[in-house]
Amino acid sequence: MDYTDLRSKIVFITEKEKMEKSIFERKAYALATYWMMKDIKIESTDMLAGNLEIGNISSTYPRNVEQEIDYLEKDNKIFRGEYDWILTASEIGLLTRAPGAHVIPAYDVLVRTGLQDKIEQIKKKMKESQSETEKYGFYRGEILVVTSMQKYIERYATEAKRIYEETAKENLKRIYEACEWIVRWAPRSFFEAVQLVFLAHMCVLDEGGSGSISFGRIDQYLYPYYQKDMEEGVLTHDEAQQIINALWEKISKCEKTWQNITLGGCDKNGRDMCNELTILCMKASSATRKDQPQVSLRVHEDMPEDVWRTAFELIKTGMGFPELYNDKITVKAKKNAGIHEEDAWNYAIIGCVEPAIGGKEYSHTEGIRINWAKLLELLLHGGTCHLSGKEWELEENHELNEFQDFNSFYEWYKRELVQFTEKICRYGNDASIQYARYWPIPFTSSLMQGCIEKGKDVTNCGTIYHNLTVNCVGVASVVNSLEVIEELVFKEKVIGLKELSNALKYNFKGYEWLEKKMRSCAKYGNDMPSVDNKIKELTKLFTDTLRDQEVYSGGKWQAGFYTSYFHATMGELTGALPDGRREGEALSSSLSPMAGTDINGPTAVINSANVINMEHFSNGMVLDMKFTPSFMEKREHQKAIQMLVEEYFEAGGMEIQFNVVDKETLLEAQRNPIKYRDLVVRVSGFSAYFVGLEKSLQDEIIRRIEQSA
Amino acid sequence: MRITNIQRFSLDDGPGIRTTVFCGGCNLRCLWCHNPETLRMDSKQMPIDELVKEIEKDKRFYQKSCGGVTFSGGEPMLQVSELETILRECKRRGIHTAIETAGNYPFEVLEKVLEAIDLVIIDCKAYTNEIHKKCTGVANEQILSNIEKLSDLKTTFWVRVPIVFGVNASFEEMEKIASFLKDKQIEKVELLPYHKMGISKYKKYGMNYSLLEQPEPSDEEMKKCYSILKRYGIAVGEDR
Repeated sequence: MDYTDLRSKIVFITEKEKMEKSIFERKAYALATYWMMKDIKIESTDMLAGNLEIGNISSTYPRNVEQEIDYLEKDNKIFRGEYDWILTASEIGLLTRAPGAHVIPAYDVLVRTGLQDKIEQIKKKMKESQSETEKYGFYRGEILVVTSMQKYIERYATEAKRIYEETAKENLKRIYEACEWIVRWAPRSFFEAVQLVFLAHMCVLDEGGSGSISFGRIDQYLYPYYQKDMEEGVLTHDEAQQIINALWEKISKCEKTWQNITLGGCDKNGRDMCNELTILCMKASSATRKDQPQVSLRVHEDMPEDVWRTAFELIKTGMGFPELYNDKITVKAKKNAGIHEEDAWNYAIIGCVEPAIGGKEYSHTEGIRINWAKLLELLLHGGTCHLSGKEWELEENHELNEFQDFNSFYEWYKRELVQFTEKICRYGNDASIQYARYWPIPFTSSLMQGCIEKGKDVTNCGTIYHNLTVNCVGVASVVNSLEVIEELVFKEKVIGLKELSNALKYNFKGYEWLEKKMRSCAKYGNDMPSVDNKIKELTKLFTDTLRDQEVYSGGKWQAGFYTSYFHATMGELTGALPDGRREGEALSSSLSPMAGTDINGPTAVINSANVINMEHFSNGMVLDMKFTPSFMEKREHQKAIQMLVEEYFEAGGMEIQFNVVDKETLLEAQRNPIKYRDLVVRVSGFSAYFVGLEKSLQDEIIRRIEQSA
Repeated sequence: MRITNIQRFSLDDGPGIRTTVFCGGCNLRCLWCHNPETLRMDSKQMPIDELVKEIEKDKRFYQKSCGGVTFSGGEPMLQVSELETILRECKRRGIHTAIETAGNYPFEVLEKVLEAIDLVIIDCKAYTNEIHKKCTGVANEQILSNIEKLSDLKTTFWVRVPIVFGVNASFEEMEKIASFLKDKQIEKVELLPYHKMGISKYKKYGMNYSLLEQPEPSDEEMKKCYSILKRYGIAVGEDR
């Protein structure tokens, strides 16, 4: 059956057939139909059953902001016109919105209890809610998707058995025997546990609309199976490595999807939780060398040397894995986002770098992203976006020559940032409430803790934790720009603010002398108090503001300071800035220094980053470090870098990651992409195939690499 | 103090994570020098207190890694009185100090500041005086004598031998160097393979470079040099 045909059948189901059912049940039915009709593919060489692709089979989030607003306005006349500004904000690059997905399903619970147990649970709740229409409908939908998943797995079992009977290949026997069992029951072996997790993941992706569906702490929840099999002598270390490698290969077939796996960590008493699987998983990445899965390592004070050593072996490959997280600070940040102590210590990473509680949290971690730099640009041009010609209404109107000193301008920027944040949070609340109505996610909900207990979908606050999120882009760009304004406009007085605005409007044409001066002002990342204090103040202002905003669900607003690829895409929509950056170029990435501006080495970068208080960065942040491959080769150098990381974490750093590639290789890959098809590099919070990236992002990475030691 | 550069996160100028302060001026003229900017007269004057503040910025990394500050260059001992002041300031602040020196000055000059130096790293560029004069422009008697005195005084010190094959280094010369260094109380002897990384600086400053055709030593050549040292029972720092 060809996909277009199947998809139109599914669309028909959700939008025309079964109209007597709720949207929730229609989506459940669509997914069930998809699993019934989809082609089952098993290769005779497969080590695991299942194939990943992003299905978005029943539309689990709106296509874009326009459609989202359409839906909001559909039945709610009160919204009509109220949120047009969101459309403008999106168009001029001030805002992006990507709610949904970004979740870690409760695979840990699934492998413990199995699917039949889940069905019994749902049936029991169904009985209890017979008088409540909506809840009863929810459970009906849940029974449908879970039993459909069982039938789907049975189809894999049947197909695997069929090919086994043709080929007599042992790997297929193992697959069909495992599938026949895990259709109902909890896994009995390491292999069955891995197979169940993978099939469940495949199902979540079939339903889900975008990437960032992540695995959580796989080395923890698979460990009991590994341990038991090893003790009973039915599994060897090499066989376990092969199974994990096979899982990695399968996951990697779905490129550019931010599927994160979290390893390591300590418990609340500081006791190390690394195990043999922690090492096996990192080795699998070194062996398979693909952009998926993304690998995160939770770091703590007593992390064993062999884990560090294996981590560096992987870092050395230059793919950007693992990203390193500081347990102490991250746990604190999640607690500050309303997570209970026990759960906070169990955090894992979603997608790029968002810390979340696996199986228990649904927080739209990429729901809102705001462009600090665009806001500054608008202040400097009286609300006019010259690139698009559109006008943006600022909260206050000021003539630029009004400002007699730097502080009064700085305070204006701060007020606008605060007000815009408050405004966007109000929108976030109103929009997110509607998701339960129009974009429920039945199957994912069946796998999350709390949903079946409460009878509510993930979009309807069914999970134990449901926060909302605002991420930021252009932070270092803004801080560097403010520093230039302070130095050149108000201290040295080489140019007035109005004329500076002109220079930016014309993208420095005729103002090359100014561009040069701007580039030589102090920049964040060089251990210079004046500019570093600005980033400290502004990030604090932002997290303080978020803390005061309400979330309709009773949760908290989370701040994120990673930029994914948005520093390039939103940079394209941003005009020239006072830090000397030209119109359309990439903005600063995450909380890293602006590409090419860190000139005092890695200790200076860390000193600068440590000025920032990260205890309220509940949605994560990124700090990039780069080293050349030849530098990373030496074990002595790796140990020195380990000490840098430990110091950075000790002093309050949250996340750090490494790019290990030289500039020549990247330039060569641009010239000759076919030859470098498999080159994986760290972008910003995620790794990707370099040749598949947009040129503006490629150029930004190259500029960042230029400052390598 | 006249300096040309301050390099933080130095891993190759002594133990641990260090900050290397490159001092202006030198009384040798090594053919292979990769810091020719120290030979120019325009290195900037930095007030001592400012320099100390810079060095202190990475104190927590020194403590973590048993690193510290290294005064290099050029020849730091050409500014011995300023050097003494700043070394004492660093020691007062609990910072480990090292100097990288060619050692071409009377021992008394060094002796005066020794108590403020935790580690001396001294070069031994050739044992045969003729070779030394050809490659560096100066004789080596003072340098060799200083190495002996450092050993007699049981100072903590390392010796470094640059390996520029066919210019200062040969297996024959290595035997002579090893024979000289054996039985001296040296914590570590390091061999520095010739590299081409400094050449672009010559172009930048419009200076002449005479070793444009010089190749980097091969792995075999380096291995053999190390084995010569080891044969004499010398503690070597290999594979840095």
